[in-house]
Amino acid sequence: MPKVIFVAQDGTRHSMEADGESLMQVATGNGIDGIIGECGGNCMCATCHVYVAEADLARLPPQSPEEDALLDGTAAERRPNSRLGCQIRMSASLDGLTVFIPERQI
Amino acid sequence: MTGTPGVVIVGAGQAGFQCAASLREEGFSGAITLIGGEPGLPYQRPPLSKNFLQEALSPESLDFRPARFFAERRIVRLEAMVQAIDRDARCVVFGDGTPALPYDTLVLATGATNRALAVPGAADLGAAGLRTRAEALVLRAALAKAKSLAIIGAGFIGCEVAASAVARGVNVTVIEAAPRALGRAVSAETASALTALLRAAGIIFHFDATVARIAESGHLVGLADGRAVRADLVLVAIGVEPATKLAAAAGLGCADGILTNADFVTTDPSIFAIGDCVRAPLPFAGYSIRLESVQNATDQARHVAAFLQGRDAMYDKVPWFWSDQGRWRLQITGLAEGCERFIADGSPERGGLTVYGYNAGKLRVVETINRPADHMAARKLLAAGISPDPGAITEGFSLRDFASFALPSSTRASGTA
Repeated sequence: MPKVIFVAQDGTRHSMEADGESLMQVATGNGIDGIIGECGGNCMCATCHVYVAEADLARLPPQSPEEDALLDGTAAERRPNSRLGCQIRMSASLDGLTVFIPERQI
Repeated sequence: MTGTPGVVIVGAGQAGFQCAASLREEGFSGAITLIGGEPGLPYQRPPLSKNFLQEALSPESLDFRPARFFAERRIVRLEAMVQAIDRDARCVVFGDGTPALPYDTLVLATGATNRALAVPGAADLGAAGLRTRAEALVLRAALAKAKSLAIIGAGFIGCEVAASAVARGVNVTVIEAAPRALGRAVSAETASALTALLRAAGIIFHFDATVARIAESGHLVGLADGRAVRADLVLVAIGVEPATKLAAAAGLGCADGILTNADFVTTDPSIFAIGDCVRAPLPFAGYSIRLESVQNATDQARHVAAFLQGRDAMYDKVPWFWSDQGRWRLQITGLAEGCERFIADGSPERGGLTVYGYNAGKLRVVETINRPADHMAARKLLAAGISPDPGAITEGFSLRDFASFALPSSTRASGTA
């Protein structure tokens, strides 16, 4: 099963196995703090913001115009490696993906 | 606080769940009891009329959080119906024999109930309404077999279900008593654009059509003008009423919603109310308003949690909503009510539509179809109270570009204010 690693603000690493679910679903389904997913994965609220490890950026699916627009409204600073967790679905090709949880989502 | 009754939340929907979660985030250490009237873990409702009807999503996929989340945070969940509030004894009373539950603070997050269709024969309808996960499962199963669906009501839910059903190959007819779809929630410009898109998808609309009766065991909708619509399945989606019964019976002030002050305190200082069931002052509106939305529920819930922990900030949120109608995404921020002028720019099929609503020269609402960048920019502009000049909105105007130079850079980085 592919793995995704969420790195919390304090450096704690949460390694989760997932296939087919979005990063937001993996985080909220496992009770990982710092990922909210208020709109339920509808690309409406930008509360599942993550910073993707630089090394992993190239293998992510491209951003949709919706995601790009929503990233304008993140609570924490938008960076070049900002993505929305609800728009990234886990698969074998993303095994080992590492994402950092921003300091705030609201 | 340990050992005292703590906070009791009645209603485990979006507002109730958020209030419980936010209380812990804010550092509240006392007891929290979250009472829900439906079986299972608290779940999100927005998908029920959208992708949940189209895809084989499991009911559990709608859960906000797993059971562990509640256990770890010592949020006690009760699946029970509250029968009454005893304000003198400061407890909630159940109808099923469960002992009364005392509270220090009570939060009412009772939501809304679907308005019932009051015409002869309405009791024969199969899929009477859509509000709960259980009802969505019934509707989804029925849609799998139905060739035709008649929807009474062209509000958000009616239109969303229509779009979901037509995508499944069902013939859909929507019957609406008003002259247009989506009522007063959006401008006529947006309503007509959306109606055109849904018509192009094959949905038939009857406007100014009042339902007089249901016949043929729930398969015929008889209109007041004599016309009739026959369908395998009939869904009633004629709006909701705030669930104020419990509050009103306890003597709390209610008027199309539980009345609260700007901190969501009811007429009893120990009782708060949040979410769809509340009518509260909103600075952005300039009057007391009742809103039915995820944003309203979660923002009010977070405010009450912070307020109870002594963090007293003014609640001044700008409303926002969304509605997915098939591949069309309608997004609204602000309030269309009271706008005297609407300016439409663009077209849904060609790069999206944005409708700007103005009152006294000030931007009050921005409605978009498939133009998320404008929506996000509008949320920030309305929160900052910055309006583009209506004269500037000509072909090629971009609200996102306008926001990028009109907003202070800190606002741009920090998102919604």
